[in-house]
Amino acid sequence: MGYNFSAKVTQTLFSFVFVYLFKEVVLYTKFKKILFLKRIYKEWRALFWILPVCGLAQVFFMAKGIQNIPFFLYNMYSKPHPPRDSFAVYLVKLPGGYYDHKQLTNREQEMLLNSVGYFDNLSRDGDGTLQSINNRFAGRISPRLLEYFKENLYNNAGNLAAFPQWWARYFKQVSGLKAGPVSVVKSYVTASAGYPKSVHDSVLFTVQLK
Amino acid sequence: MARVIFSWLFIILLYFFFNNSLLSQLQEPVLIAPGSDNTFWLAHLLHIPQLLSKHWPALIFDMLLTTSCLICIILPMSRSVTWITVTGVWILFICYSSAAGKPYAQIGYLLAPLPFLAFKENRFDLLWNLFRYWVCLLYFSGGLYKLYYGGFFYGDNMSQIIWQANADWFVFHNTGTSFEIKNYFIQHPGFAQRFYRLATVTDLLMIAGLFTKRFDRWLLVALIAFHVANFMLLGISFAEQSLIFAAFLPWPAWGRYYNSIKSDD
Repeated sequence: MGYNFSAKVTQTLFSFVFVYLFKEVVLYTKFKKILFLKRIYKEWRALFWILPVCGLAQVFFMAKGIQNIPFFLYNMYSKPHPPRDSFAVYLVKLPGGYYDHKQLTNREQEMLLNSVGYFDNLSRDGDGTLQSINNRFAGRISPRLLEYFKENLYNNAGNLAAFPQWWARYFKQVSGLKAGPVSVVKSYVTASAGYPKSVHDSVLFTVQLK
Repeated sequence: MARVIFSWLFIILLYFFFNNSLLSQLQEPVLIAPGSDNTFWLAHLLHIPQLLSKHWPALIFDMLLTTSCLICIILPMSRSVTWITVTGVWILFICYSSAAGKPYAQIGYLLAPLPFLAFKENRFDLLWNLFRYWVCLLYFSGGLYKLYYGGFFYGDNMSQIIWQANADWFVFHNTGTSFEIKNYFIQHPGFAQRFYRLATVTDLLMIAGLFTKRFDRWLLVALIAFHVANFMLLGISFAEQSLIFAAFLPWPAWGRYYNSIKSDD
């Protein structure tokens, strides 16, 4: 009896919600959408034709999995993250211990340590830019133009060599520290209780603040 | 309305300034990160980030951008200055992302000023509606991605995301309320994954905004809750993204209220 009653209530409630949503979403909005498109067609013909082109471009870049602004891809954190026993982190080491970079703002942290991760990747095996340039343009444009692309889209050895000094200038600005040696190290945080850091650090570079 | 949006944008630029993130504050970055984005490539081939990595050009750029944004607040109908402001924030986005090594996902401040480029009021109205649809579709696509790539179905996903995103945070913090909350989520993957799924449903529900404006206040609440949760669990700030909230604010009602006050005077 109780079960039948609650089932009936649920059914009635569901019917109401369904009818309401159907009315709202399918009937009302269908007309509204058509009216909106009609309005664009009447008031701004160029935009009316640009819209489907933009829509197709967005779908194309989504399918390719490559962001080309303004066609943004909002796929952050969408892939499964398999369990890890440890996770690599970049830390700033001062003579008295590690500098707590988490006290900095999001943007300062991004500029300070994301760039370090990028630098580390570039120093080890590049970031795939050269390969992308070759894939997209090799054989399609003149060798001179291809060289120009490579020169302007890729960080050369000089850029990499200059990175630690740039990093020191920016770190000095955001940390307020005036002088002393600073090292940037790569270490690992383990997934066990309390999330301890590995005792081993590999130094990426050391700079002297002045 | 233009005054409110550009004041909001100006506050975001101030936020950049106080976060040492305007181009002249970046201390002349030496690395570029064009990634695989063709627009970034074009900007780099035109030497824009390379030029604006130098101190004086960057300082002039920052001054031009902040001044033009201020002018947009004082003289909202000035289209040429609006163009400068809008172009400026997009260039700022490209140059900052290139120096930081990856594109930043906070893009609200890029999208909201775009409708003000329209010369006529009816065209502005069309662009504002399209901006709103764009935001809805972006978040909806975020939900679809979580389904398509399988994050939604992977039971440990949220707890792993929280642990990996906070790994360096744990080096300095292993006590306190914030630690306890994050630790609880990591130690209870099933519980954490409910939040991930709730976030996916929130993303997917944004599609409703494509069909009707009747749920806008709920979509706004959902978006704010989504970003606050991101901030608390993953430490992702949403100051720059906050301008997307403008798409769901009741501007017509505020306009009528403002006009009624004006006529009373």
